[in-house]
Amino acid sequence: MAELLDYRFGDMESTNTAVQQRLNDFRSTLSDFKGTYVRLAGQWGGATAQGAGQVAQTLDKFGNDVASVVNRFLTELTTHLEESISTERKNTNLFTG
Amino acid sequence: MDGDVGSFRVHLQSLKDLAVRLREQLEVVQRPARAFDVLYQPPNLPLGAFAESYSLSDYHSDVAQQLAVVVEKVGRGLDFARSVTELVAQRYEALNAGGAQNIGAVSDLLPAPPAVALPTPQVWNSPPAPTQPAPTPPAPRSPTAAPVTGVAAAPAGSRATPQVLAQVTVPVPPDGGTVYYFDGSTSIPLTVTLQPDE
Repeated sequence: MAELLDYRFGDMESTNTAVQQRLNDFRSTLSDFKGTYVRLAGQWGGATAQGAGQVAQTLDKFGNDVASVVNRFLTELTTHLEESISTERKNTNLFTG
Repeated sequence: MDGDVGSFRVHLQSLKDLAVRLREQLEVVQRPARAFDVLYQPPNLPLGAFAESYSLSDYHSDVAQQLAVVVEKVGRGLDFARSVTELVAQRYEALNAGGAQNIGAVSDLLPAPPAVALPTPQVWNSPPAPTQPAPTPPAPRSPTAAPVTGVAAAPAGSRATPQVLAQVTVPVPPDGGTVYYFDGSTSIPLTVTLQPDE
């Protein structure tokens, strides 16, 4: 158990925004990667193009899985921030309500 | 806990300790309150049937009753403070533990990195590989243009040992092929004769 709970909602929101931005960057990079391999596969031929396509699909799936997990992480962070604000409001109302 | 809007800073253990102390104080207050029961009973004192005795008895009962009310209010106040403190501590603790568990559980969802073997390009169709012309040997030049090296052939029919002028290693030419001696600037066709070892 943590000795001291130090919650700063502004900092938490900044962190969530930064994670969201990185997630957008990652998805954009993944999309660029897919476009590049499709273009290369059109220029290559034979087994090399087929092998490169399989590798690209594998990495694409892995990238999507990672993006999904990061999105879930972001959802949990956002939920925790909302619950923190709600808890603080309820506790404050015990004394002011 | 800070008074800032948009933040809180809580020492959870201190909050729990405060709730424990409030509970202890409540018990301390309730202990004499139970002793007040005896005060509610009319005093059995042989004061005599005179007016002052009744007044003293009534006054005694009023004081006892008011004291009980005050003690009860103090007890309710302590109990309220204790319950609020415990509730606040429970909420903060549940918030922190729940957040840690939910956020930490996300790491279990991370996929294992795939084992990817990058292909080695072996076929390159675009652009097509240029057809390299077969290397042409340098144009033969006259043997007089360069010193001839090799083995001086013995006259035909002679079994004399050939005189060795120089020894060079040359590949066995294919059928119909020609082996050239090339020293970097001059090319001389060689005649290679394979002989069994004697």
